[in-house]
Amino acid sequence: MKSLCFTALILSLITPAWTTTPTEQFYEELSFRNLKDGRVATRFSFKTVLNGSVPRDPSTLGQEDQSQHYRLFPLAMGQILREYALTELHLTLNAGNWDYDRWGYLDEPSVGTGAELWTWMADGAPSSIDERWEGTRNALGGLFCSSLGGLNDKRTTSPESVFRPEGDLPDWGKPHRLRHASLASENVCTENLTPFIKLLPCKALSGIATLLNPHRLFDADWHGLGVHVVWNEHTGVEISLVIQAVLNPFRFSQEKTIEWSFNSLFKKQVERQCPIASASTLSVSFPAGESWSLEPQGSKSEGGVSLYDLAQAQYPFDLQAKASTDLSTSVHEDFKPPLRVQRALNGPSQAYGRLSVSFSNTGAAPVQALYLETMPWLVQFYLHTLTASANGTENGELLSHIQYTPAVPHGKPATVQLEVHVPAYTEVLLTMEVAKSFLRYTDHPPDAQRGWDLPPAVVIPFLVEQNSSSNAISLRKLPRMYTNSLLVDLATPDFSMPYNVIIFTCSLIAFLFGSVFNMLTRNFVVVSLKDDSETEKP
Amino acid sequence: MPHPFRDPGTLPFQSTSIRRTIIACYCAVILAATPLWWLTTSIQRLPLNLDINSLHPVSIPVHVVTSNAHRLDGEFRQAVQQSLSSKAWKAIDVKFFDTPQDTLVQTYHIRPSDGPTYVQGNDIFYPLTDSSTPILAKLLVDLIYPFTEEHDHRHVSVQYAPRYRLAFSLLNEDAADGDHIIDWDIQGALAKYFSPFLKSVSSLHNFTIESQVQYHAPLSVQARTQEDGSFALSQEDLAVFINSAEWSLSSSVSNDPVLHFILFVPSRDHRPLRILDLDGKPSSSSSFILPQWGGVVMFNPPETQVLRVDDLLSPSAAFLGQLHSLLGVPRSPALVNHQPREAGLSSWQLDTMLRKRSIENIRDSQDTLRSIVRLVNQIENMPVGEKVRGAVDASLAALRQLQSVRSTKDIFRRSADAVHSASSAFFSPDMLAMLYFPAEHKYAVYTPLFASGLIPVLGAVVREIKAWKDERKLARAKVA
Repeated sequence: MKSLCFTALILSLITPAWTTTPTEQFYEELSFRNLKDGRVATRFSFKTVLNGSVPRDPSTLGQEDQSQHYRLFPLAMGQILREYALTELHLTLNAGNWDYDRWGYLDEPSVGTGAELWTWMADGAPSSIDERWEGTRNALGGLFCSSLGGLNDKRTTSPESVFRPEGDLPDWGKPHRLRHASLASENVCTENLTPFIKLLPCKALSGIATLLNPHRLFDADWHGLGVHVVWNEHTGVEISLVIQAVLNPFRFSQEKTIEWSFNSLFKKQVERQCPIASASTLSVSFPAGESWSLEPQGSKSEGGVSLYDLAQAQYPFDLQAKASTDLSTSVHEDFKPPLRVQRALNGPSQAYGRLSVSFSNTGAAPVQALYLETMPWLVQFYLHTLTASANGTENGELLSHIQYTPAVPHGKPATVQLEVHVPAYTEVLLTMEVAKSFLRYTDHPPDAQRGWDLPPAVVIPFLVEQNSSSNAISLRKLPRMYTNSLLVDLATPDFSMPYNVIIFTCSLIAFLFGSVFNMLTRNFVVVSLKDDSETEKP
Repeated sequence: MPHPFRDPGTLPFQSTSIRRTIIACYCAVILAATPLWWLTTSIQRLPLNLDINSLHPVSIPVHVVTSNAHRLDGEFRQAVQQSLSSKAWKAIDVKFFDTPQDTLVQTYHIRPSDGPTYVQGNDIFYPLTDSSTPILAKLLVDLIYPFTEEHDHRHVSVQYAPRYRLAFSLLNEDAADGDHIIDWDIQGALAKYFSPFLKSVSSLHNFTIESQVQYHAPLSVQARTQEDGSFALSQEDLAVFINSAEWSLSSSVSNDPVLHFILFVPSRDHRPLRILDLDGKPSSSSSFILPQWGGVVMFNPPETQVLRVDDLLSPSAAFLGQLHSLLGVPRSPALVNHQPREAGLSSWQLDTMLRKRSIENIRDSQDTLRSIVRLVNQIENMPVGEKVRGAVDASLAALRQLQSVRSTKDIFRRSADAVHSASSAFFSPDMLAMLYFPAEHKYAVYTPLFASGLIPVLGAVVREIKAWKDERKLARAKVA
């Protein structure tokens, strides 16, 4: 033992001379999950760890930064992270609505429609947090060819209790602050995937990234990409680049059997191994009660999950999966969401409406949910009309801890954060009256549009667990869920009208002006018709 | 017969004088409102206190002190002055003295040497035995301003910036074929080979250094197979060598210009990769420079996966040479066969660079100022705000101060200020503000309101004037 310690000490003394740069590791992971409706959820994860690195201390922002030398970590991301001294960053770009009922959850929590960006950064820099936030979203928008500039102050909030840091926060003696914004109308497309692939150490030329075929990915029922940067005290800065898609194998298969392969899903197979990956793994999981045959067989198989180590695989690698039984009809219990949340904006008028959110709990245990609604000032809440009802009977006691930040017109969005208690086998319905704003003519976008997308609301379910022995109640936090996004139709002027309106208004003003002026200056003369007719006649 | 109505002419508001007063009031209000309307709708165009003709070339003083021992005559002086006047836009004003005059002005001494010719600091040691004045004149000119017109026009060197980003990239053409460079000790190489140089030019430029390794960097051009089984790229191929679609080289966060240095490792199937010269023969050099962009070194690796500092010696030397060219570092004159070794740059090189950058900056700032004036005169809708005028004034002030400073460093600093202010004025976003709202739109909005409002007023005025004239005529007739 002593000698071991001694060697470790010697090693730790020697190694710093070699490792002036932090060592970097790259892990790639591909997972497939067969869903009960026959679709396949696939997730590509590319993780680079910068061992022993620390995020930049914001108080050093005015000074010369250390040189950045990377081997695997994407330099473009490193520059952004250091330029704005970000501790944690999460960017997701998704298209489509994630169907929790059929696809389950737990894969990756960030599945909200559209673009979502949130960062944790420490205070104490010469420039304010909001300036750094603005710079961050512009830089990321430029990097990913995405309109992230639209995540401006009108969309930015700071719901610190909902978006907790997923890694550690270094202690620099200054508080860390959250900035969060989402933009439901921003869709993900090929122009976002190309710069994303450029950040991967193996690009799309070797390893599992070879399968990233934009034609198939963006054809999927749901797809999205994400960039997550966290700092772990023990490892260092970690960046995960994630691509997810829900593919429908039926659409590509000729025969009406339930089977898929890399080739049928992506029109590609893994030709070569990524030479610098520390680990390349593939996992395939099935709903319980179904039996599938896989070709080739996984190296390990446990609990309905087959694992492959792609470092030992035969290349070119293609996986064939075929169901040997009928599809089961229940969601895998592990993936079943604890709540079903549906949100709608009702009302025929362009001035008023009603927001209704239903939480249904089909389980036998009560669920406590933290509900966060972030609403751009386009829609304004009447909080006094907020009601909650359980299975049709009004019950105000279901709601607690209501926090409301009103919107600033043309400025900040409103946030409503509340806790809902959803008893077992109950549907809780929240309703609230809302007013729709009347926008200035310059607030409308210059192009044709279908309406205004409102960002999805966020729900964090807590399972209420009662300890049978001590009767104590404990809450278990589950990953967050997103509701569907909404579309609101605001009163929109006919934009061909401004000149006509100007001309009409001007004519009216001129008419009034002229009438008044004439009345004031006209010379009135009484004309006696009778007398005149007599005198004028010859 | 009595009239059934009162005569309206007897009503108080129907009297001629009141009617005329009303019309006069309307006219007065309109006239009084006109300046306000003018003020609120006009574009702010502050006058620029800048006369293009007042931008005359600035001369940079250089003194040469000759020792009596050489007995250099007027012919030598004339040769130097003539040679310099054909270069550098005649901006160098060289004067000859027997004794040092002004310690601030850059001074070159010509001293006798016992052995061969050499340069130390800013002193030329020239053998007494050799009395060839043309050679000495050429040497002196090469020290003061070695750049030729051709050099000025080739634009290899980048535009002046106070800070550059040096981006070093190790590109493996294809790492998946099994034989590639995993890592390089670029930090060690930079510390060993680059730091002395970077430190010595710190008075001119600051540098941000970054490096990355890429494992898949496919070529956009096809390497040609040679007879001996090697592969080669022709000069035309080199022009399109950078595959910016697939190599992620660009820097997104800062506005500092980036100089790229690429160590390209061809894939195993393309080794060895060489460069062909213009005649199609394999060139001895494995590197090439891309003007104003950076440099590339082809590296056919030995059997190794990690490049140590020693392995990086020759690529680093090539990169350093490319950095010299990109920054416009003058080469040592051919005549100087013995030069005392100094770390980084010798002081005469630094002075020459400062002088060259000063001259470029002065020219650039003057050109920019001229363009601003021309643009502002040309486009009448272009606003000129406080910010733009302030920047133009700052640039002019810096140019004016140039007349009074003498030391090379001060001249350079002022010239850098001048070019910075001038370009910030030129690229000021304020100048675009009103370009999208042309005058036609304004008239389209104004005409329906003003025309239809003013016509009754004008009509009434004309009518009243006529009536007043008739009255006067009538009155005169009555008097007559």
